[in-house]
Amino acid sequence: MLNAFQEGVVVVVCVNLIAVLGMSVLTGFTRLFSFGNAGFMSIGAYTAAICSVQLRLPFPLAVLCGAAMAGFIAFLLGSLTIRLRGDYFLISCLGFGECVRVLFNYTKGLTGGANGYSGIPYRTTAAVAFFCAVLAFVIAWNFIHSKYGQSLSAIRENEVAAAANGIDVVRCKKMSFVFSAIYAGWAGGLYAHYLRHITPALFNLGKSSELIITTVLGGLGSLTGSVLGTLVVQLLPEFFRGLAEYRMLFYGIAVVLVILVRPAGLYGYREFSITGAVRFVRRLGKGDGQDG
Amino acid sequence: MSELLNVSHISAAYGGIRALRDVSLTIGEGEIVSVLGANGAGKSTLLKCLSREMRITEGEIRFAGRPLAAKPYAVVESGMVIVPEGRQIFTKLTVRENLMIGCCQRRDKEGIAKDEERVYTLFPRLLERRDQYGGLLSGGEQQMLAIARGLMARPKLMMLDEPSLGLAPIIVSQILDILKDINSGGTTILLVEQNARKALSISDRVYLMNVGSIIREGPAEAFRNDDSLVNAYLGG
Ligand SMILES: Nc1ncnc2c1ncn2[C@@H]1O[C@H](COP(=O)(O)OP(=O)(O)OP(=O)(O)O)[C@@H](O)[C@H]1O
Ligand SMILES: [Mg+2]
Repeated sequence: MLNAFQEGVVVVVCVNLIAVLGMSVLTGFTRLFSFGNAGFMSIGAYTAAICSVQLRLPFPLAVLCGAAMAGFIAFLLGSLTIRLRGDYFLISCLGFGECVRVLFNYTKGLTGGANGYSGIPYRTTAAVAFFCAVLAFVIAWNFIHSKYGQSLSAIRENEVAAAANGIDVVRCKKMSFVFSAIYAGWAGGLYAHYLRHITPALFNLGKSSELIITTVLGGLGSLTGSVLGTLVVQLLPEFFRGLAEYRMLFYGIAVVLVILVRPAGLYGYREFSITGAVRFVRRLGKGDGQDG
Repeated sequence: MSELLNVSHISAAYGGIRALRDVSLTIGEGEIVSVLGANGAGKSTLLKCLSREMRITEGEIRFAGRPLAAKPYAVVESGMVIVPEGRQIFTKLTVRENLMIGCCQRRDKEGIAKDEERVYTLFPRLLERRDQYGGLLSGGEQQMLAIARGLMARPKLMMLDEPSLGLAPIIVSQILDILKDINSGGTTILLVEQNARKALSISDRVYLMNVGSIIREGPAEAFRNDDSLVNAYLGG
């Protein structure tokens, strides 16, 4: 079995993967950038924690409530902001994320304020986290390969043409915004039941940026790319522990490099496929044959 | 013949610049009506207003006896579809996926399958390229795809913005013939064109636009026989 360190790594990777998958559906498939998804994680985490501790709900139900609450708030926020053009939408999300953080700092009675909320039972084991991540991937995959996902791809490519062909652009964008918030809330609820003690500062602007950076690194519009991106962003720092303080610096450099060298990301607009990999290996084999 | 579309006294502007002033027109069920005019006459603007991509500042539009829906997707739902200027196909989706976007509001699987077949019968080229990306098609094929995608919504009225743009004369004739076929299948057509002679050859009635207003209207024959008119406003 896994030791505590390995268990922790698996949980952190899986939890982040869920949040990144949500981001990937939103940003990769509609080009909306949300710098507020840590806020939805926070809402999910606190809702799940309170459900679990105060209301004594069973763990799966508590996490579900967290995800649902995040989705509900996203629905309300989206109704106001989803029509905004790119940059303005981004700023509204950024503001929202900060509002959530400050709000949870002030509502001491409910959330424990800046000191955090503790006494959450430990429920998110590596197995639970892994199961959730696989489930999240399967749901997201089906979502983007559904009629809805097709509509999102059309919007990404040409919003005006999409609308002219009968796609309700505002509704589709709102759907994907809510989808990403539900995923963030889901991740937050799981995270709370792993850490057992959460503070508002865990879900700050840095966390939102990390989610976006991971999505961009992995490649916009590619779910398998998101998996790859999450592995890189979450695991590399584990190998370079001593440099942890420079983490954000490395992210920044990595993103600049990606944008310069591979604007589509590590795996942009394509999915990893077994047959593709086999073909690639064969081609390598042939290349060797010709050289030799 | 019953009236399908009724546009009365509409105006529209880009910022402060008026692009349409007091435009009125009607289209009867089953007709092919052309709107002709030189560059900048306001033809595309008119279609943008009809598809609700652009807001009108004055006037009223009625479709099939009711006020026209306010949102682009709702306009499509009510049976009116636009094949926009410059095709606007989805280059990163395959031909078939493009067609499926065209019928994204429909739930009748059998009807969709039937219409897909019909579209391939009209445009055999699209069948050959069914699984190819839209961006890899030639200009003419892209135009065919744009029309086919519009047909997939099974519209009562199809509006086309310069389908002849940048295409060889022989392809233009082919496409216009197909439009005629589509029309005899029961779809009413509003055609916007600069290519006057070709458009006149398939139209029932014609509106002539100049700097944002309609300056002449009448049956297509009258225009066909009046070279001076065509030369003065259109050329070609
Ligand atoms: N996006 C825009 N912003 C500002 N002005 C515009 C815009 N689009 C068109 N116009 C102006 O509105 C007027 C009508 O343009 P419109 O595109 O409707 O002409 P058109 O008849 O379709 O011409 P063409 O045959 O060249 O396509 C023109 O004077 C044009 O300069
Ligand atoms: Mg035009």
